[in-house]
Amino acid sequence: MEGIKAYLGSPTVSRTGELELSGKIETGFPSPAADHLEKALSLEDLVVYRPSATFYVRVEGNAMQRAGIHDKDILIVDRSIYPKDGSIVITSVNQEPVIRRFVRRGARVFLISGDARHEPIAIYDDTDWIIWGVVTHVIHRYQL
Amino acid sequence: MSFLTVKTPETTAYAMIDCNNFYASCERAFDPVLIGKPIAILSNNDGCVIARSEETKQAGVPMGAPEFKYRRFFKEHQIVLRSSNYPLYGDMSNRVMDILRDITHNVEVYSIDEAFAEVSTNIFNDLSEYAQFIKNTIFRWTGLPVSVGVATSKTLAKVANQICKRNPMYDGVLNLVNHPDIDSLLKDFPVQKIWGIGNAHTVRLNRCNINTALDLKRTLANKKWVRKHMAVTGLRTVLELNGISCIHISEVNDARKGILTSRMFGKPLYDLGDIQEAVATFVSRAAEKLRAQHSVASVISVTLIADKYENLKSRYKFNRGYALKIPTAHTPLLIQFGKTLATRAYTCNTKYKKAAVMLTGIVPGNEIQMDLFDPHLYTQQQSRLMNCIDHINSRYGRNKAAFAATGLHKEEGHRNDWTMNQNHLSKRYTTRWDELMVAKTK
Repeated sequence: MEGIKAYLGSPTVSRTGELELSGKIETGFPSPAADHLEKALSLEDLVVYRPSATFYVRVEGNAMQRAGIHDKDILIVDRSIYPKDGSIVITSVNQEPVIRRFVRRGARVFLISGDARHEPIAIYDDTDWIIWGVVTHVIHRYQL
Repeated sequence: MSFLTVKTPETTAYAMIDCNNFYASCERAFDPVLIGKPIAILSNNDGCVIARSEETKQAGVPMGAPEFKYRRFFKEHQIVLRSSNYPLYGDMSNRVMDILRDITHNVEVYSIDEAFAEVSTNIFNDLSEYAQFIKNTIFRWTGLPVSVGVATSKTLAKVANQICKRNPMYDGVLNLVNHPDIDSLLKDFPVQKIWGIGNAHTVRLNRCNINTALDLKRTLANKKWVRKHMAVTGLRTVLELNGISCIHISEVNDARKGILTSRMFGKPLYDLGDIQEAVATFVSRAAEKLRAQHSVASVISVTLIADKYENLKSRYKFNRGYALKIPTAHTPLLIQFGKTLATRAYTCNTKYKKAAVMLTGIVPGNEIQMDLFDPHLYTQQQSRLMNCIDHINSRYGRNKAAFAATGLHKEEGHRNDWTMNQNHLSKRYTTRWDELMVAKTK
């Protein structure tokens, strides 16, 4: 009965999300692992804490290499997280999204670039700035 | 310590959550340059204004303003134009609704940018605080500003929402539960803005000197009069204005009534071949939506819409339908019927501007009545093929696997005659890997 249900049901997709084109009904001896099935590992479960607050952002430039962020990487950004001292954040400087390190010194906040050529930004009470989100992970693609 | 804790009776109320200038806010959430600037969102074919930011409203651009007529005005007032980016708006809407489901109860999605939800005092002692929490959470997590109205009935919650949206004094939140002076707020609220009061009712009510929400609320004293002039639905509205809840949350959203795919052509079409191609594409899109909800349709209808102004006084909408013997979700079969219907609806030398494909008689896929000898039977094999195509398209991008009848989508950059004009389109930041928001390191 189980086999027939699967046949009538929606598309067959394998664990990894690959399409399975065969339309066979599986017969024979049931798998001894069937009672111990667990959900296959998913990268998304690992890196996305809150799906409705998580966005992906593309990196442009190499000034944050010391933080392990390279040109064309994809950042996983969670907007629901509050930045802590040392967090990498997407912030907006002159209305342009920029990646910086959030640093607290006493009561003061600085936004620091990974490259000495770019001045740290000190946040004053009247500074017009936003923290767009906090970077939680980086996806870097190596040369294949 | 006692095992018996006396619980204060909890109050349950309705919240109406509405995103402020939703489309414009979605554009802003990913493009900080737009913050504080006037934005106008154009309709599917860049034809007219369908949404405006607050600044654009202030500048005096009306809803529905035709783009060509306002082109100079937009330039003079530095209004930023955007083509409608529904993939983005749809995804952002889903995020807002998901957050609401996390932090409230029984969410009823009312439209792309509004929802009702139940809020109770067992989480926050104070409902205003709860409303503030909803507002802040959605804004932090998505960047979208919302207004939250709370009351003991849905109609009042909507009134509260509209009041706090217009008046910055409320900071986007208004709770009418146990509000000391609800009547003075209702006194300033025009009757035609009440949820469920249409134009016909407004005229009739104004004639009887009922101009504000408070006037209407007080008609409860004369139920007979209300029932006579506004029927039962009107009485319900009156009761709701008195804080008595009559319209309950309907959580189940029946998306299965009908699927409509309709679009303006990029430029007017005269040729039957072009029209058939467009119709085939709409059919194939509608069939995709149908399969996404695991359903099959039993009726297909095609409408061709001609240029109204060139055919004044004559008919300009031409509709043909066909009832299938066995419901299906098989694109090739539906395209075949769609093209035949388009041919029947078509007349030569007519300037067509728009086509629509409607699938109705929708039932869940596993409820098909079988007739093994019907050639149109939606077989398992067909179902598998269709699902396979849907998978390829959802994985590698729309139309990667398409039916020849929908027209060959030649090289990148080439557009079929009937595809949409979208000259001001922003990126699909949340649904395409190659269109992500870019942040610089500097």
